Amino acid sequence: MLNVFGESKKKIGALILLGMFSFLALLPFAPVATSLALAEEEAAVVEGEESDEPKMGKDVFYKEEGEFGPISGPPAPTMVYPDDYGTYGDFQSRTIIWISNQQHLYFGSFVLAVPMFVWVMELIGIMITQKGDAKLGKKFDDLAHEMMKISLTAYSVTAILGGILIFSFLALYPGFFRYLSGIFRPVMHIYALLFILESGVLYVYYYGWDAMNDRCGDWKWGHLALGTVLNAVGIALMVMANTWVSFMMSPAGVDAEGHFLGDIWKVMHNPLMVPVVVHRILGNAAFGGGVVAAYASFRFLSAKTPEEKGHYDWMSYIAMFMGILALIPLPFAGYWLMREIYGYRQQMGITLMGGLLAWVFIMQATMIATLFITVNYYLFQAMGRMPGSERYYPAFKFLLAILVVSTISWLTPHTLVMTPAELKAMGGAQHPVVGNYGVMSAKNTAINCMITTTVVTFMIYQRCNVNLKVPWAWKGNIFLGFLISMAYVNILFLGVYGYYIPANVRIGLSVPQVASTLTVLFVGVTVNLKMLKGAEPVGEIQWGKMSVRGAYALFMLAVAFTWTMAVMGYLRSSVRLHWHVNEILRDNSPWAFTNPLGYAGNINSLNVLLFWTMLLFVFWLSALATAGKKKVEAEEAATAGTAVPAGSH
Amino acid sequence: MSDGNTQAKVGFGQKLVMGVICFAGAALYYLLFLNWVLMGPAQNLDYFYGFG
Amino acid sequence: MAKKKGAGIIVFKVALWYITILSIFAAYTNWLPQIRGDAPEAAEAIDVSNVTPEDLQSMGEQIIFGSHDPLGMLARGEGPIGKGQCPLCHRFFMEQKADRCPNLIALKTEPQKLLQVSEEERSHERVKEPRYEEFKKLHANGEKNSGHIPHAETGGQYLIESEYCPNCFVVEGFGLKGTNDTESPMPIIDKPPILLVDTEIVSVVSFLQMRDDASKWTAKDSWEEYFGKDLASAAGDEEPVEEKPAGPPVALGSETAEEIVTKMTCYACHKIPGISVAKTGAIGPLLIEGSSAKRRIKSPEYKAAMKAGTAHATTPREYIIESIMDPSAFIVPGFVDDMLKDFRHKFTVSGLDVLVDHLIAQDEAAAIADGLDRLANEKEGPIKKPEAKLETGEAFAKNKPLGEGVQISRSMKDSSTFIGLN
Repeated sequence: MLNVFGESKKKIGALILLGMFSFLALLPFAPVATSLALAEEEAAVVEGEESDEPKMGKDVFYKEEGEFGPISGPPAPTMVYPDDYGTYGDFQSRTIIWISNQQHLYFGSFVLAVPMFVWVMELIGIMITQKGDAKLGKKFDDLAHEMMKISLTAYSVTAILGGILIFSFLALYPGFFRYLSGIFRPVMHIYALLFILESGVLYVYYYGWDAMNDRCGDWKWGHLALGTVLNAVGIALMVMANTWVSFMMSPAGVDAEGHFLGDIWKVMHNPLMVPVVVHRILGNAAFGGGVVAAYASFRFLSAKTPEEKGHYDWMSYIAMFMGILALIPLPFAGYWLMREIYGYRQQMGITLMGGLLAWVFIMQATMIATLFITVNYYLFQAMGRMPGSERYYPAFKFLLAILVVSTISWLTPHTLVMTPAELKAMGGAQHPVVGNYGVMSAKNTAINCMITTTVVTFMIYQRCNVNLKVPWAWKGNIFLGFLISMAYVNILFLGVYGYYIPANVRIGLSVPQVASTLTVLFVGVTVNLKMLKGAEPVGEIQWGKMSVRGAYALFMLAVAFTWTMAVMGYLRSSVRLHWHVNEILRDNSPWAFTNPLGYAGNINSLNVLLFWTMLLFVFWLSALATAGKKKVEAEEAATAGTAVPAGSH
Repeated sequence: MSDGNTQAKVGFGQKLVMGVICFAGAALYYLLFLNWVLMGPAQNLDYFYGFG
Repeated sequence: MAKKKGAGIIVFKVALWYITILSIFAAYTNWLPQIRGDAPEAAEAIDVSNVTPEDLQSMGEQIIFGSHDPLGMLARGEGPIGKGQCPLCHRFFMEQKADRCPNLIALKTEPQKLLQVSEEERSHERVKEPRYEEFKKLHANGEKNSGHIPHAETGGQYLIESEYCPNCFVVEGFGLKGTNDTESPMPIIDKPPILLVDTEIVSVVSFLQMRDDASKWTAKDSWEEYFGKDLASAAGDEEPVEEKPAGPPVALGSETAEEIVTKMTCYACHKIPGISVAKTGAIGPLLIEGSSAKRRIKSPEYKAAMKAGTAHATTPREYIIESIMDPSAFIVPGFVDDMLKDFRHKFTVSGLDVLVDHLIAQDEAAAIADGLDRLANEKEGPIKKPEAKLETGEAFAKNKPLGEGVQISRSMKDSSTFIGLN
């Protein structure tokens, strides 16, 4: 079966891939072109018989060419409470939307992230198989299949929650929903069509897995192509939904009164759309990795046989690894998003980091610190099952020290909570020592140190269970030693230097700090990998021997990821302050205020708990199916006389 | 922490030389090249989106 | 079965772990400072005839900080930010850390002289800078985003202009990067998202001017000079309902000058032409500001007071307002600092207008018509009558009440006078 992977088959597979991509790439343009024509027609109609030319409106964002567009829709309505809002008693309608939106987003992110991992796993499986190791290749393929199964049930739940969300909007925010759906009408049907496409592809992809693998082996590449399509459609769906959200934050394509100006692309391609999409994709991937890792951890803890334990230990490591791969670039994407926010409206940026929402960022900082410390902790635990890693244990305390000091600096707020007596004793609102760590200079230094430390931990993990054999290993070690230590020195140096220069120059310092971190990541990991060539393992990795603490660390990771998403959602929503659509559609409901952090924290924790409870149900469902399948497999194996493949490599 | 390398022992002098080269190289790279490239000319680019 | 049981315990333990973590997170968020960001209050229908300049100052403070105790809020770790959003970028107190935009306080330790004074004092210098002329040229056809043409002539007008048209003058070093300091990152305050109405902007400028020295208030007049029209109340076209503010008597805009003078008892010390009750005051100068205000401002004594920093009027109007709001700013030579200091609490903005309008209309001719003259302590001496005619007996008798000491009759023809001597 494996030898059927001939050249011609690969070509067919590649062609299918290409065809699917082109189809998908062209698909959105047909309706958009139609909608443009439609918009022009409407513009003429709206203006009526009196003038030949439609009235032009000035875009709130786009300048230069395209600054003016024909007014093609009604202005943003002035919302009136209670007519344009609905209520269920005294309960904040806004909170109902908050919860249903967040749940939908959680499940949506999950079903977006899992196909990404599955695709990577499947590809790795194919490549390993082609290199000759069929058993390991199948292992990865089975892993991919198992991950996909979890996603399937979650997909239905996503759809149900989406329905609940829409009903909530209709019931509680009809005025707002009417305006927004009016603006986005030209592309709404694409969103609906994409759902149909996604469902179709998803079911064929999942249910056709074995069929495409086993019976028609040539179709493996085709199956992977389907996976590509699935991911592409999923991302397209997310991008479309994202345009609504980023339009609310930074509208474009409308004039100051909210009239649609005819070009739906301008509306969709509003200033914050792309940075939010990039940040979201990475965040979803990290979040998905966390969820799958938690699932695998749970299965690991409840596994009864060593093989099962080994299998799930391995699965949790893979999932966590992919999640962390996505986590590493996430701060950069977030930083880019902040820069775009500042570039769009400086006030918005200052509200976020230096004004009303500054304390919320302390929560975000807490989450990020939790994430990094947990990852490092998990890796330290994971080295417990790598024979030979004892040599590196002495290094842990230094890495931990760097992490702890960085976290303390990272978490320090600029202004402390004090009583008037304390204030008097201190002689000011800023503590003479600690106050210095509350500024950007210190924060960037801290996070870069934390990321670098995580990379170092990972590099140690890569090599901890082998004896190096390359002749230049000693040179490599010295090189790596200085690469890493000088990176820390540079990060610290820039951090301290930042205190002596004006704010507008200091901001630029973060770029070389980040570049130092990235240097360690790319150069360090590459050199490390090269050094592992021909290395002789001290012993087999003992999958299944992970400590219980490590499993619980993965749960912590999953919760931290989930909570981070919740608090970032709270930030995104709150930065609009009292606007439904920034500067265009004002919120005139009684809940136009921004919730204090405590309330948000409570709702966030509630959302996380709710999500994980629902997820537990989803996992239980997929475990049911597995239990049945495993029973069948075991029976077959017993009769055939071969053992079920062991879980180690 | 040894990396388990079983190659022939390398003399301290050689290690020292390598160390000095790597230290100098890293210092040049980080403290001069990186900072200058990313701070110097970049300051003049409109990359900084006009704030501050 | 055993597997299920084991799984059940694991679920329970994991659930406990989750709840622990989530409770810690939630508790932490509740422990941190809680700030509720309220939606901005709708623009108060400020009626200029109902408010005193101090009310305006107080409203300005509320708009800027969202509270009347911004320092207390800063101490508690809360960031005082009101509807205007100003503290996001501008520094009003040393305890703040806001340096994106020009700070509005005096920084005594700065080497630059211009930074050692508050924004209010700086504002007077800004319009005189050559840089301002450059901006006038640059936006001669109207500034792109706001449509305004820079034309501020006084400090107060500059402050007003900065709100409506931040691009009309960008302080060096604070412009958007890449625009060579020609574009300001400050939003236009009367447009979204801040959307302050005219009276709110005037109250913000009132705060800026009055925080160190209440007599520096020119906000309303500056607005009206800048825009060339009256400041309409935010209530719109409705007839302003004049409520009598509770408390001590306040001069209202609906009253006449006579009523105000009576209420405020100016007549106790001053003689004022055109006011029937104000004929006998002999403690303060004769109030003929149409003639005297200009002279006073030009006088060397006033210039000395300006140098000392106590006086700062540049127009007759400002001088009169200053004299009422802060009498100690300048004492007319020959008099003492006895004028009541609490008039600043007792005049509504339009009430002040009424009185100032009246006083500025009084000049030497009006005094003569009303039969009033300067007091003896006034340096300028008696008012020079138009014709130097000899006083007749009747005129003499009229002007010199009986019993005013020994006067030698100038007219030998006037026997009645002669008899009148006692």
